[in-house]
This record gives sequence, structure tokens and C-alpha cells, in this order.
Amino acid sequence: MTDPDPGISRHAVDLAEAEGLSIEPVTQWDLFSKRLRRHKFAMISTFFLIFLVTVVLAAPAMQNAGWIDDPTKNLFDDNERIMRNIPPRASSENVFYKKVIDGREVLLEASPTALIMGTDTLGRSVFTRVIYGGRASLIVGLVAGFLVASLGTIVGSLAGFYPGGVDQSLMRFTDLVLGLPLLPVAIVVGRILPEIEFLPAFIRQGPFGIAMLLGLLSWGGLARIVRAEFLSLREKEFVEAARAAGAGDSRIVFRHILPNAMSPIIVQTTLVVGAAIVIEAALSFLGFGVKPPTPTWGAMVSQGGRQAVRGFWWEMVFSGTALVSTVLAINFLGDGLRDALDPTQTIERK
Amino acid sequence: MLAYIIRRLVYGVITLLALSMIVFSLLQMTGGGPLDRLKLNPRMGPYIDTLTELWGLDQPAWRQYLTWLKNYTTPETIALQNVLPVIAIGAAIGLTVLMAKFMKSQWQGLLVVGVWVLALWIAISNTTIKFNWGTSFSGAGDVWNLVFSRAGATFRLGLTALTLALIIGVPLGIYQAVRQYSFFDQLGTVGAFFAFSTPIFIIGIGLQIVLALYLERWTGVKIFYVTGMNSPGYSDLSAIGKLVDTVQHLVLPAVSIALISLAGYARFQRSSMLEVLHSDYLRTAKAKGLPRRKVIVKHALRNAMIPVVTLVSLDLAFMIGGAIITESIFGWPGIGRLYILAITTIDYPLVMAIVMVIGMGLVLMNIIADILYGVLDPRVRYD
Amino acid sequence: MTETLLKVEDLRTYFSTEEGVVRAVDGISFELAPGERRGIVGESGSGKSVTAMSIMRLIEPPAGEIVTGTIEFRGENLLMLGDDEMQKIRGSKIAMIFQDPMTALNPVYTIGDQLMETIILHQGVSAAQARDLAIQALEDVQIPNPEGKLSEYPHQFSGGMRQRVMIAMGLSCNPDLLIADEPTTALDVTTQAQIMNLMLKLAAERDTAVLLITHDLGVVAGFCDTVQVMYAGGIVEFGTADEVFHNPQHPYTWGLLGSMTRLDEVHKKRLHSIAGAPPSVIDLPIGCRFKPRCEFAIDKCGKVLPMLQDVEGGSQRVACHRAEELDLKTFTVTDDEHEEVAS
Repeated sequence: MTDPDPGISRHAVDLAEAEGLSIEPVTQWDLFSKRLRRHKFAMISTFFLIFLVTVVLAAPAMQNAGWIDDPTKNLFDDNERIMRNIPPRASSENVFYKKVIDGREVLLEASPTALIMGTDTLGRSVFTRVIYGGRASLIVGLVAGFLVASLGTIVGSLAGFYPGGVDQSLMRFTDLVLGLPLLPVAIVVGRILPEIEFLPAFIRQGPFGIAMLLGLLSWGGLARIVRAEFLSLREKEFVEAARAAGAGDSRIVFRHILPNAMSPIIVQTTLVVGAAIVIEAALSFLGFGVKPPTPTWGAMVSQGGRQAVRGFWWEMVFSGTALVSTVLAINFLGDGLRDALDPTQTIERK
Repeated sequence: MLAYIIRRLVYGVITLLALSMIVFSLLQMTGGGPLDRLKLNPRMGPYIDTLTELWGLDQPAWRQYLTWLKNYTTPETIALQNVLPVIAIGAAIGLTVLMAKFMKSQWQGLLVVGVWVLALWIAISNTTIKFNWGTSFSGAGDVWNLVFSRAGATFRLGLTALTLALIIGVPLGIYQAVRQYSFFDQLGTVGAFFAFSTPIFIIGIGLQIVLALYLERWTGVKIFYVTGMNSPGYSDLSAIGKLVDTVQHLVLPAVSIALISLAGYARFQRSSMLEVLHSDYLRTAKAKGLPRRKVIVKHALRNAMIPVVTLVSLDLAFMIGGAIITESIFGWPGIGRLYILAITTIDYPLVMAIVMVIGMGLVLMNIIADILYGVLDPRVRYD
Repeated sequence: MTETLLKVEDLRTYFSTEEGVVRAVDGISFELAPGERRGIVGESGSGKSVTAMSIMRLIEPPAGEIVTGTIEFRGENLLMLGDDEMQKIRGSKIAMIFQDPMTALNPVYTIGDQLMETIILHQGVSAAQARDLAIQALEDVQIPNPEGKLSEYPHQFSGGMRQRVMIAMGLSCNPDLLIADEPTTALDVTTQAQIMNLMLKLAAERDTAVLLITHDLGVVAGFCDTVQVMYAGGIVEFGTADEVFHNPQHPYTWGLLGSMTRLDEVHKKRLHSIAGAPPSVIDLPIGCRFKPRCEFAIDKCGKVLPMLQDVEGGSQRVACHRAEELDLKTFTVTDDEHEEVAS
């Protein structure tokens, strides 16, 4: 039997082609990209996120090129007074910042973008800080997402593939982690993180520590999902067939089960990324997140909120918009992926 | 059933023990001791050694933990003020047994939960019970009294938010499902996405600025308050005045907490309802010749609303997080704000006490939700 | 035939999907006499179930829509009825039994609740009377201890028992027409025959016409008076069970019969299979829809859609250009393809 597709006989294929019907094979990828493209919000979100990641990654380069300023430096006017709470304006004429060169303070001209989102209460450029603030959010989202995806998949697959003792103990542990109240525990860790002396500085101060904390606390949901997938896939005929053909455990897991469990892993991870960004923002808002002067959107909303009550709305509005639109884009993407990756969905009725 | 509840309680206790150990050891990791702040005060100098000994801080960490655990779980004083607690709990148990036997609709299930909440409230308020949860390191007094003086405020806020989220979110989702793909449905879907992509603190501050600050500026009338639970002159107000004042303070923080959950409930209820609407048994109901209204009200609603019970119990942890943030935005004198203060000063006994109260609340609510689920869905068997 | 219970004319039910319009039922016409047992046979996707759902008017807009046609039931066009009037017919005059008994009953209500609901709805009796009728109905379908079973939930019943409940529910109001959509497919083989026998016995007692939708030709041969064969949304052959089984006129019917296992045939014969798959009902070929899979196709088949026409001598009708010249009975299966597969 050499026919590549025994389901369709040669006779019928020839006939169908003579009829002008196409028998082109449709791959999973074709279906996926077609469905994703149909989800308009998801497409817009994808482009927005690509744009965001590019801008955020390029922030130091943009600073070197003089397009944006140092997010931690105050801006001064030509009388050397700090420009606090300056409303947004297009021109940055007569705006300076100070830099110490050879032990002397010199006034340097600020970048042309310095004032397009105004300045905060300490006289720093909101525009620059919004861009740099995205770095913290993205690091937290991606590192936490990576941790959750790997921990959740490993724990979930082990539990799902080895029933009995391994499954029981792993799932009890998962239940335990899921039972921890996330925000209260995260607040405790966020508060004491800078004081834990044996940790390296980048974990104590920066977004990495917070990211790892959130990753370690939120993999439980994914582990449960992966376990459920494994439990149902393990009984499927194609796995039995592979086993009958002599495939070992690792081959069955990596070649047969895991690829079929990818959809929920991807979707759930996307949603966790969004959630981690929100929680980091909340921690920073409460003062238990990334430590100043590193800008984060959460801390900017917190500081900007106090100014907005006095009428200085810009810091809060711009940082808040950046935060909400990023999370919104991630959630839309997650929704689009869920639609596109659902293998049971063939024809969606209008 | 009983065995199931007992097993769940055992798991709950294990979770709580783990939680306490995790938080306790985290708190041990801080560089200085809890008395660092006190040491800064020169007048405290002579007392430091006394306090260290009094609070057992010279002991090794594991001994400190065990001491804490023993004190935390042993009642210092316990006394019934009258027979009301016994009657209330007895009535609640009786009603639960009765309902479990003759369950007819989901509303009775919700009634059971309501009765339990009421009974527990009566029981607690008519009992003199006190645990030795320690003394606040930052000088705020006895931890047990401190926590329970704040519990009422958080309870009021949380219950209002939960009620708002349920009575708006669930019908919204059902309506969206029944009118799938209508303009309203799509508006609701996009609205829900916006709501649960917006962090709670942005909602809170946004509401403060728009609905309190600007609204007052435009109308000249103070409609909503942005801080506290009551106005300073509250005790002088008439009964109606008190109610109005309470509502004016309560609305904005409650809405802040409720909004995200509401969107989640609506979305979940919508998909759950859609699943039921496309189910075979609904087709059977239609093929029987039942009118559309009856098909939806009798055959779809009950099935579609069962999963919400689970969602609410899962959402509770989120709501507690929301309450912590909202209370600190709105200056609400509840447990959440107390928690932030405690953690800022690393006030060990207070932090531990609040974390454990939150943990116990979650464990209990999860068990109640599981039981309720089984009551509502005849297919669920506990074994 | 003197009297007509159900008369379907040029029924077209389309579904709009993102890939295009699915013409699930595309211009079918047939009649059904009172008490008649009709089998509707065809592969999945041939439009059998959609026909049934159209008669019940359970096609849900906006996805599906009955585009044209009439469905006359006792001289009344069901498609012109208001929702209220149609609800009175559903469950009382026309009842339906579905394929999967495991999911067809509402899991949160007791069997009694669901049975009595139908009875009260259509017969206007008190709850107590309805209870008696429900017990009677369960007794009729041979469920032991019917009184005790009333307060049990569907998940406490086996698949066969649930299908019995569905039959009891369907027949509880003595309908004129019972539509059974693959009622035994989801059951195991030993239960299948019991359920079929029970259903048809009860239907005969009540003089209820049955529209039995199935892909199992054996079931049709055993239980039906007349058969209509559907392919890609159209009827390709109609006749009494005898005629169709012994003298198939359409190559598709002939192919279906060839693919059946028969215990009564002594000589060993290779099982036939119809090459290819049914066409997508989105882009149907011009001309005869079976042409791409037909061994006897000629040029005309690719150009003109054959109409259902009477076959001389008998009540049989067939939609095939070559029906008259071909005598399918004399053909035996000689297909290189299958030699190859077997080797």
C-alpha cells in the first residue's frame, strides 16, 4: 500500500480533480493563522505588542541617540529651576538636564520628546518614564510567564503521566500553592525582598525578583490544566498505537502527548503574562514592587494619582493608558489564540 | 459527604500550616530584627532587652514559630454570653440537613449559605472568645482586638462588592448568551475585556477623580466621598442621614472591587449559558413543545448557574487582593489597610494574624462552595 | 395512498458558515401516510437530521434557515404557523427521539419531573394525574419499578434505560408522528434491537407514523415499510423496503447495499465500499452530486442534475440518468481498487 492517504482512493482523487474540486491538504498552521487573522482585535493586539516590545527594547539606544532622556534625571528650565508638573507640550525649548562631567555639573539640552507627556512632580519626563516603565512590566510578564509555562508543564505532565503516588503528591502540592492567597503573600515578599541580604542586587531591587516571585506563585492553574490534558490524551488511541509500536515514555510524551497539549499551555501562559503585569503594577502601586528610582507604570499611577487630584492629570493618564492597553492587548491575544488553537472548532457559525 | 468535608478540612489545615510557615520564615529573612525601629527611639533603649525576652525573640526561629502557633490556636478566654449562638448554629445545621434532603431549586442552596453567614455572625457577636494573637510590635495594641475591630468594615465592603458583582454580572451574562451576537452582547464582551484588563487601582483612582472630584466640581454637591467609612459628624445624623452617609462612602470602593469580578462573572456566565443553550437536553426541551421562556428559565438557567458557585469561590482570593488595594486607596478602615500598615513596619504578629485570617476565610469559602455545588448538581457525589 | 399525514415539498434548509452557505437540505419532497414507517438512510452529512429538525422547526436562526418549501402536517403548513401553535404540535402531535440518550435528558431534574412536564403541558391534567400517566408511560417502555424511578436522576440510568425514558416521553401524548434520529446508534448492540422492537411495537399500538433516521440499512430492512435514500442534501431513491433492497435503482443505493454484511448469503463475497467521500455541501458539483464517486457516470451526469422519477412497475422513484438502462442487480463488485487493498 503506497497510497499516501488511504482514506481517499486514487480513483476519487482523480475524479474530483477532473471536477475542478481541490483536494489540497490543509495544515494545522494554515487553519491557525487563518483563524487568528479573522480575530481583528487579536491582530491589532499582536501588532501593538510587537511595537511595544521593540520600543521598550530600544529604549537605551534611543536614549543614547538623544531621542529620549534619562528616566531618573530631573529637567530644568533656563533659570536652573526644576520643572515640576509641567503639562504636556510639543516643544522642549529651554529645557535642560544636569550631568556631572569631569566633576563639574553641566547643563545639557533635553531631548525633543522631553515634554510631550509633561513632567512628573519631581520634574522628570513622563514620556521617558512611560517607555522605561514598560521594561519592568515586560520583564515581569515574560519571566513570570516563562516560569509558569515551564513549572506548570513539568509538574502537570509528571502528575498526568505517572498516576498514583507521583500524581497524588504533586497535585496535593499544587493545591497547596493554589491555596495561598496570592496578593497578601506577594506583598510580604515584595516588602522584605530588598532586605534579604544573601540575594544578588538585581533580584532584590529590580523587576526580576518580583517576576520570579509571581512565577513561583502562579503556576498551579496551568499544572492542573496540563495534568487534565495528559490524563485524557494518555488514553487516546494514537498514544496506545505509539505504545504498541514500542515507543518509550519520553517519545510518547514529547512526540505524541505534549504537542497535542500545547494549545491550553499557550493560552494559559498568555493570560498569566497579563495577570503578572497587573500584579506587579499593583505591588509597585502599593510600594512593595520594583524599587524607585526605576520607573514602573504601577508606581507612576500611584504618584500620578496623587497629582491628578490636584489637576495634574498627565502622569496618571499616560502611564495608566500604557498599562491598560498592554494588558488589554495581551488578553485579546490570549482570546484570539484560544479561538485559533481550538482543534475541535472546524466551522464557526456566524 | 461528612467524610468528604472532614478530608477537605484536613487539607485546609495543612494549607494553613504551610501558609503560616512560609510567611513566618519570610519574615525571619529580613536583615534586622523586628525591634530595629524601636531601637531608633532613644527612649525605648532600656526596654529593648525586656521586650526581646518578653516576645521570645532571643529564641531560635523554630521555637518562636511553635510558640506563635500554640498561642494563635489556643483560646485565652471563651464564654457564651447567652444561648443565641447555640440556637443559631443548631438552626443552620438543621436547615442544611433539611435542604440537602429536599432540594428543589438553586435558590434554596443560596439560602443555606445565607443562613450560615447569619448564624455565624450571631454566634460570634454573642460569644466572648479571645485568642492570644500577640501584641503589635509597632505599639498598636492587642492583635486580636485590632483585627476584629477592623473586620466589620472589610466585611461590609466585601459583601457589598460581591453582591453587586453577582446581581449585575450573572443576569448580564445570561442576557448576553440569550441574545448572542446582538449589539448588546458584543458591547458587553468588549466592555468585559476592558474591565478585567484594568488594574483595580486605576479603577479606584479613576472613580475617585471622575465620580467624586469632578462630579462635585461640576454639580457643586458632594455625592460620593473618597475616604473613610463615615463622615466625622456621623453620630449626630438622623437614621436616614446615617444610611445616606454610609451609602455615599460605600459606593465607590465597593464598585472598584466589584467591577472586575462583575466582568468576569458576566463572561463566565455567558459561556456557561451558551454551552447549555447548545446542549442536547435543551433541544429535547424544545422538542417537547415547551415555550421558549420556560425552556430558558426552567431548563437552561439552573444548569448554567451551577458553575458560578465555583467561580465565586475562586474569585474570593482575588476580591481579597482587591480589598487590600481599594482600602488603601479609599482610606477604608478595614483589615486590608491594616495589613499594609503592618507589613510596612514588619509588625510580625499583626502580619501573621491577618494572613491567617485571610487564609482561613479562603479555605472555608472553598469548602462551602464545594458543598453547595454538590447540592445544586445531583450528578456530583462525594467520595 | 389515500390519506397523507405529512407532505414535504421542495424543502431547502441552508446554514450560513464562514466558509460559505451549506445547503444541508436542498429541495427534497416526500409524503408520509398515517401509521407508515419510513426509513431515511444516508451517510452522515446527507441531510437526514436536518430534514427532521426542519419538520420540528428546530433549526436555529441565524445560523440555519429554512429557505423555501412547505411542510404540510394534516393539511396545515407548519412553516406558516406562529411559535405558539408550533409549540402545541411539538411533543404532542409530532414527537422526536434523539441520537444520544446520555445527553438528551436534563441532568438536574428527575425523570419524573421531565416526563410529567410534557404530560402536563400537552394534556392539561393535574400533577397527580400526570404522575399516574408518567408511571404508565414508564411501564409501557418496560422499565421495572416505574414508581420508584420517577424520583431518580438521569445519571442513575443506563443508556438503554434513558432511551426508554425518551421513548416514553415521546409517546406519552400519543403523537401522530414520531421522528427517531438514529435512536440506537449510541447504544450497544444487544440493547439496540430491544429498543427498536419496543419503539416500533408501541408506535404500532398507537398507530403512530415513524420517521426513522439511520445509516444502518439492516435496521431499515427489519423495521420499515418504505425507504428514502438521501445523498448530499437530496433524495436519490425512494420505494418500499422490498423494492429498494432487492432492486436498487440508484448506483449509490446499490453501493450502500454492497457494503452491508449479510448473514444470509452463503457464498463469500468481498464487501464493497463506495470510493471517495461525500462532496462538501458548500460547493456541490454541477449535475449529479454522486457523479464524482459513481462508476457508471456518463457525460450528461456532470451537466444535468437528475430529478426524482417514477420507475416503471411499482412505487419506486429514483434520481439517476442511467436508471433505465442499468440493471444494477446483475452487477457484482469488481473493483481493482479493492483487490489492491486486500492484497
